[in-house]
Amino acid sequence: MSIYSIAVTALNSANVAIATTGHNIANVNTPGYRRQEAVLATNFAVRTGSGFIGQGVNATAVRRIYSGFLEQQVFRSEAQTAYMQRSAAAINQIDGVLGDRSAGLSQALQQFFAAWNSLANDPASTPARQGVLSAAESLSNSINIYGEYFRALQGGANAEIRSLVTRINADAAQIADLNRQISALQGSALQPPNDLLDQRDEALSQLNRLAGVTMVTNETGDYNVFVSGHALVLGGTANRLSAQPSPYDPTRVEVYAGASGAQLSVPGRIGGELGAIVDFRSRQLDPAQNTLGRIALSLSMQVNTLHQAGKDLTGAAGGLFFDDLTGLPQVHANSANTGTGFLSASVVDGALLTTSDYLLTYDGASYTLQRLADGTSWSGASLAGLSATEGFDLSLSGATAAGDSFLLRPTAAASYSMGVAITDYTLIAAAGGSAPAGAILDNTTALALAALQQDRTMMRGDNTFESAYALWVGEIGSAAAAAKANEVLYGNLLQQAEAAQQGVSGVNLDEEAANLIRFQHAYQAAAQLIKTANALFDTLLSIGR
Amino acid sequence: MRISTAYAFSLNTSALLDKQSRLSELQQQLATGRRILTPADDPAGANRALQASQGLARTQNHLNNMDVATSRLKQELTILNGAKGVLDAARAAVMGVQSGTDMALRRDVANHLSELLQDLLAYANSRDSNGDYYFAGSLAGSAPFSAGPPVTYAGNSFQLEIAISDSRRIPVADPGDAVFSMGTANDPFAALNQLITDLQYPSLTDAAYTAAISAGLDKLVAAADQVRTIQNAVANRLDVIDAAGTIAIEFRRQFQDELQRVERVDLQQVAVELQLQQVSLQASQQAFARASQLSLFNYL
Repeated sequence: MSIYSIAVTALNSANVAIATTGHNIANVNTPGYRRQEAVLATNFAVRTGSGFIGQGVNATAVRRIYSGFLEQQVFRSEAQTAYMQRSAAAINQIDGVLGDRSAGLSQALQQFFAAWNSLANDPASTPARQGVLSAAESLSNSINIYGEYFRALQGGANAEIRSLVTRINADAAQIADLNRQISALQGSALQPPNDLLDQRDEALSQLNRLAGVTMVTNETGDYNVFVSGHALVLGGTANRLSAQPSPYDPTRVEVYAGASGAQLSVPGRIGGELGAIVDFRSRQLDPAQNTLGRIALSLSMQVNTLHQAGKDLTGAAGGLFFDDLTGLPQVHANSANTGTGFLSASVVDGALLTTSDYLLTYDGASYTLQRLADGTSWSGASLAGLSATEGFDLSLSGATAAGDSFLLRPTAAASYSMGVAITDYTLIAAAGGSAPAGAILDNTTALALAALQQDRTMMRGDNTFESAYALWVGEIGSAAAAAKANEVLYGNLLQQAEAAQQGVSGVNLDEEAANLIRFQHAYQAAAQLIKTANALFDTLLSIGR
Repeated sequence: MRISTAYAFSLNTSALLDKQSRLSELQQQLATGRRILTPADDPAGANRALQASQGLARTQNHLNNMDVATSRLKQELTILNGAKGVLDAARAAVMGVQSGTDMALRRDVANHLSELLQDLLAYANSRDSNGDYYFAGSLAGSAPFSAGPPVTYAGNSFQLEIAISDSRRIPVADPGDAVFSMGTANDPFAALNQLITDLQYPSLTDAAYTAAISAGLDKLVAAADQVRTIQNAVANRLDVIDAAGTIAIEFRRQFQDELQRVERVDLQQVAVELQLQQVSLQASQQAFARASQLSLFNYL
């Protein structure tokens, strides 16, 4: 071994180190990139009579700087943060539209009752009658506008679930593909394929933000990825998710394992953005529709009952004032039902309605109805007493088969179906039911309708229409405030974890600049070594001249 | 501690974004004058604000109702005054012919009573600004009192009520049969018609004449008393409304105060915070700009 060859090892090693530094600099902004460093080691020394003479340096590996512990912290936080961020944004869509006190439903309710007060003050007045009709129109409109908005949010949730499932499948496929590439490369060479490992970690991190996955590394180093118990990636194989219509409601998209596997979109079971949307839909959006629908149902039923007990300007008994919504409960038969059973429901008492949906199942012997919000259930004979506790009646026809089930949403459809049933102001029944013909100054019914404003006719007599609405706004506000607080809290946790992880694995350009100088100096010194060896050799040659 | 260059940039950026979003929130508060922009800003406050605004609207309804009631009752009082004046005038005229010897005078009084009867009828058939009859009960579309004789009542005994609070309704009309003693012995129209007949009937004995005049006077006095009773009732209702109005105005003030307390932004506090945030944002921006210029590469 000569000085030349030692110098060459030094040049080569410095080259590797400079190239690695350059790679770090080049990838300073690459997502998921972990900085790399050249690992340098001395070559085997040669034993001589004078002792071991060093044989230079050798770049044994390029390794990425990676702390499994810190990566794990980020992994856990990023799914939670993605969930919280998406939840907060979703609930803001409801919170935001309830914000303006002077433009919302509250204002429309106030104007509706103010109009009935004016009519009660002057029951024969045509302007007062027209005022009642236009206030009723704008009240129905404002309920329907919210109802349609919530429906649009349901549509948006469907679209988002479909798009998330597509992205999740793409990430899963990428991880499976990288699993294959990595194990092929690791099988043939002992050196780690750093950039592929980074790419796989980045794909996993993306997937984790989308769906909150769990990951297990198998003995060959493959990433096996699970979402809500479903093996999404096993080695080189990705098992896709699918987004398909719910068996109960074709307008609602659910997530399934594979094309025909178990339903995964169960509230509280998935994490990440997908989980946030699934949970938001069941825990905020459905109840919001139901709450608004309950106000619409209670209001229209109460007004109609009083109105039908009165007499209009022509002396005839009052008709429906608002469209009848009592027959509107949505019943969705499971598409897998094998029987011919047909379920229908009608609302009988608006004061008893809850904001929950219900599931009716038949086991071949008896029916069981479950209130989905809290799991309370009725079966057999107790089903007949439903109207006295839940405010609606069920009726079944046809033959239900064992295992058949029906989803019941008593109030949701009412949220976008309000309508004023009369257009002719003479048909407003302001007079009492016993008013004789020509009793144009009888305001008995108008007074009763105006008094509905302060009558506690909702939620088992606990609330007026207005206080029920105020309560709801408070609930949505609390949920949105909590979501916002969680978003900040989990965002901070993630920031801590990322700061720690980046502190170890991130590229610092000043450090790279210093390294560049260091390795450049090493390179220059090695070059100087060659020059020195050359000078020594020249000295030797000059002896023979 | 090592710092990753890219992460330091993104941390700085998100800090700047946070400050900007807080700044925009403050600006919005200042622009709207409202502390609660969405219910999430203060859920309990949003609920209280809604309750207060609903209470305010209800109270305002009641105050509006009171205005209508007061105006109706005052008009009724005016009409009743007129009717009572007619009855008093009739009584005075009849008192002047109690002796009954001067037949010409009796005829004059009889003619005068005929006019007064028409006046009384006109009061009884008074209409409001919509053209609806005051004293017809709910059958306000047609005249409740016929011209007669005999004068008959075609209205009913319905009494229009107006809500002046959540629990209190006040009558704002009186049916004509009650006001004008219809269907009783003291029917002033019948009494006047009888007096007019008796005054013009020369062959009545003195005793019979005196008895007839005396009976007629009694009836006129009783009818006038009945009108006075109704007047008192109307005055009482006005007092009730007045008292309820004072309370409602106090309620309205409290609801308005509550709304202000809950919703209104403290301008001074927000303005100060806005200033602080601006300074802080500016400082962060400058620090960011300076720090981002620092790089070892500048010296290579």
